[in-house]
Amino acid sequence: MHPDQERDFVERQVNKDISRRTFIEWAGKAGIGSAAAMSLSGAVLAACGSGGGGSKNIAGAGDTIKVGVIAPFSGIGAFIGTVTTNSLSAAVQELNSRGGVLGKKIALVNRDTGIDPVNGVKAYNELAGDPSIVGILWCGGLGFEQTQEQFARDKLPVMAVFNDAWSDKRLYPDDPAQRSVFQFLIPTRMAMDTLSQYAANDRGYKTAALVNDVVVDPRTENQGFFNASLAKVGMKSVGYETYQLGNSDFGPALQRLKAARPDMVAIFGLSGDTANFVIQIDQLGSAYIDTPTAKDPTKGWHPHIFGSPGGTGDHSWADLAKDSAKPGTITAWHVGGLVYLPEFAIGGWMKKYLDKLPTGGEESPADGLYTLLKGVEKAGTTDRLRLTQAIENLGSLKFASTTYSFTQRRHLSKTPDDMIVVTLERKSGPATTDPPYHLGHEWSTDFARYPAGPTQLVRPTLDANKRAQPDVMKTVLTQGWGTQCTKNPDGTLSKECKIH
Amino acid sequence: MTDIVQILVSGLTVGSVIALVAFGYNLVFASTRIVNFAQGSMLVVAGYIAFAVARAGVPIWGAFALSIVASLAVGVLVEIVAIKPLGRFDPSTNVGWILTTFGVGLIAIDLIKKTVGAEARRLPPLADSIFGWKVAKISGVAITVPDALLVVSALLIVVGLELLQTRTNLGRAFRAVAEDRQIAGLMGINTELMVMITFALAGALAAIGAVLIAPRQFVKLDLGVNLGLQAFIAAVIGGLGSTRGAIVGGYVIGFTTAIVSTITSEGGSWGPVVVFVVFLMVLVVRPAGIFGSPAVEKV
Repeated sequence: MHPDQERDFVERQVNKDISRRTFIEWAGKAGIGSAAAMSLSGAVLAACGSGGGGSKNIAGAGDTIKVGVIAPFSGIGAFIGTVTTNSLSAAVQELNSRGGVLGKKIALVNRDTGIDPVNGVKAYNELAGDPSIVGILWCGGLGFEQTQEQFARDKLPVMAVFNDAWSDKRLYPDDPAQRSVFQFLIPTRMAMDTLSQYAANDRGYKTAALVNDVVVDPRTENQGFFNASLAKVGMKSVGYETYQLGNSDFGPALQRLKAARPDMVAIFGLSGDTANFVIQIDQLGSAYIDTPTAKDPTKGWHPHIFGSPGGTGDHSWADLAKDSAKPGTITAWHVGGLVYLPEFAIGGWMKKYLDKLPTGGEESPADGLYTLLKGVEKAGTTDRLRLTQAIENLGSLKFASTTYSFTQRRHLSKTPDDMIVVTLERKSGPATTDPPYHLGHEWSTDFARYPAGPTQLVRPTLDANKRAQPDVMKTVLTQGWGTQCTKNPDGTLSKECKIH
Repeated sequence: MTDIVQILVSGLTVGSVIALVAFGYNLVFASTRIVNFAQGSMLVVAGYIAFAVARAGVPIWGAFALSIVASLAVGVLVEIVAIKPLGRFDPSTNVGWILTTFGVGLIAIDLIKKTVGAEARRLPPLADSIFGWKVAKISGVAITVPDALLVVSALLIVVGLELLQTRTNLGRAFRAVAEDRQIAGLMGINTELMVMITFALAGALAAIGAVLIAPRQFVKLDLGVNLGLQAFIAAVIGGLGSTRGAIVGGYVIGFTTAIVSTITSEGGSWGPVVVFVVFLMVLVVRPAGIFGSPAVEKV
C-alpha cells in the first residue's frame, strides 16, 4: 500500500467509524415505541419461522451454505450496509476461493432494515423461517432488541456484529434464553468501565458527572452503567444531565455542573453535540487544562472531558469544536478497532477482490461470517443447538483482523483486556511533560493534515492488551503506531505520559 | 440571579434559532396558504452551499452572500418542482402540496448525502468579536458575539418582513394572492410570479438562518428534521402566516425549554414533553395561534 493510499485508508476508516458507532448505538436502542407493533407482526410471522432449520446433515443441504444478513442497506444508516456489503463480499470470495465450507460455496441472503425496526423483525422472521439459512449476521440493522424473544424461540445462531446486547444483560449467560446470540461489538458498559478505571486509577479523579443524549439512549440506561462503573472504582457521581440530539444549548446544565464541580465530565452522545458541549464549556471559562487543575478545587472548575466512542472516537468532533477541543480529551476503544493496522487481512481481500480500501469496521462482518461457518464446519450440521455449541467451542479464531474467541460462558468477542483509551492531540504536539511525551507514527503521517486527531494507546492496560492481542501489540509498538508516551531508561513506558 | 440570566440567554438564543426557520414557513403560508415542508431541507442545502463556498477560500461574509443568492434559486426550484406541477388548486382541500414539499425536502437531503457526505460541517461565525469583545459574562452566564448576532438578526428580520408585508406593493400582492388567488389575478397581479417570489424569499431566509445558526448547531443533515419540526410548532403556536407569531412561537419554545432545563437536570427528557403541553394549551385557547386569524367562511 502506498503512503497516500495508506493515509486515505486511515482517514476514511476514522471518518466512517464514528458514523458506524453512531448508527450502532441508534440501532441498538431506537425504535422502542414500535415495540408493540413489532411484537404483533413477529408473532404472526413466527408461525412460519418456528421450527425451521431442525436437525439436518450439512451434506444434504444443497450446493451452497446460505447465511442471512440483516443490515441497513438504505436510509440514514446505509453506509453500514456498504461496510457490510464490502466486508462480506470480500470475505465470501476469499472463503470460496479456499474451497468454501465442507465443499459448499457460501451464499448471502441480504435483508434491508432501512430506518424502521419493524423491518428488522420481519427480516429475521423471514430468514429464520427458511430452513436452508444456517445463521444470521445482524449488522447494525434496526429491530435487534425487538427480536430477542424470537431469538430465544428459534435458537438460530445470530452474530450481533454491530449491535449491543451485552450492555443490557441480554446476552448469554446473563440472559439464558439468548444462547444462540454472539456479539462482536464493543459494549457501552465495557467502555464505561474502562473509562472509569482510567479516571480513578490513572488520573486520580474522585468525582464525575454524566451528560447523556436521551435520543441515542431513550431508556437512559447509560446512567445506570455509569454509576455502576464509578462505584466499582470508588468514584462518586455528582451530576447527571440529559439532552436531546441536536441540542444547541447546554447553558442550564453547565451551571448545575459548575456548582457540583465534578473532576471529570463524561458526555455520551454524538460528535456534533459533544463539540457543542465543549465549545460552551470553553465559553464559560471552564475548559480542561490538565489533570492537576481538574482535581484542584482552588483553581476553579476545569473538568477533564471523557467522550463516548461514538462522540469523540475520531477527529470529527475536534474539527467542529476547533480550539475548544482540548488535548487530553479521551474516550475508550478496543485494540484492532481504532488501532487498525494496514496488514489486517480484510484490507488485502478488499483490495484483491473489490479493488477497494476499508473505510472502517469491515473486519467485524467478515469475522462474524467466519465464526458462523467455522461453527458449521465443526458441527457438521445445521442443527441450531449443535451449531451454537460448536461456536462456543471453536477456541481462538483469527480471520479478518485480530484474534478473538467465544466460550460457553462468554458470548462476547471483546474482553476488558482488549480495551484501550484514546486521547485527542493537536498538530502542534502534546502538552509538555517531563520526561517528554512522544506521539506515535500515525500522528506524523496519517493525521498530519488535521489540526487535531486521536492517538491511541494511553494504555491503561498495556499488559492486558499484550495478553489479549500479543501480535497486534507487538506490531503497534515496534512499528511505532499509537502513542509512545514517555519511556523509562529501561525502555518500558512511563506512567507520566498520561498527565497532560 | 444566575438562573434568571441563564433562562433569559438560553430562551432568547434557542428561541431565535427556531424563529429563523419558522420565518420561512410563515412567509410562504402568508402568501400561499401552503406549509412548505421543504423549508428545513432548504436550510440544510443553504448551509452546505455556504460551507462549500467558504471551504473554497471565500471569506464568510462572501459565502453568506453567495449562499443567499443560490438559495433564492433553490427556493424557486422547490416551487417549480413541488408546487407548479399541481396546477391551480385550493390548498385547503387539495393537500397534494404536503407530499410534494415533503418529498422535495427528502430528495434534497439525499442529494447532499450522495454528493457532499453526511458529516456535520463547521462554518465560522459572521462575527467572532466586536471591538475585541468575544465573550461577556453576566452572573456567570456566557454571552457570545455569535449568539448576540443571532438574537438581534432574528428581531431585525421580523421588522423587515413586517415592513415588506405591510408597506410594500409586493407585500400587498402577497396578501392579495393569499386572500383569493382568482380575484388577485383578475386585479392584474401575476399570481404565479408572486408564489415563485415567495418561495425564493423563503430560500433566502433559509440561507440567512443557516449561517446564523451554524455557530450553535453546525451544518448537518438532521437540522432539517430536528429544527424543522420545532420551527413548525413555533409557527403554529405563533399563528401560521404571522411573522411576529414566528418569533413569539420560537421564544415560547425557547423559554419553555430553558425553564424546564433550569428546574430539572433531566431537561432533555422533560423539555419536549412540556413544550408539547404548552403547544396544546395555546391551541386550546387560541386555535389559530397567538397571532393567527381564525378562518372565517363567508356564506
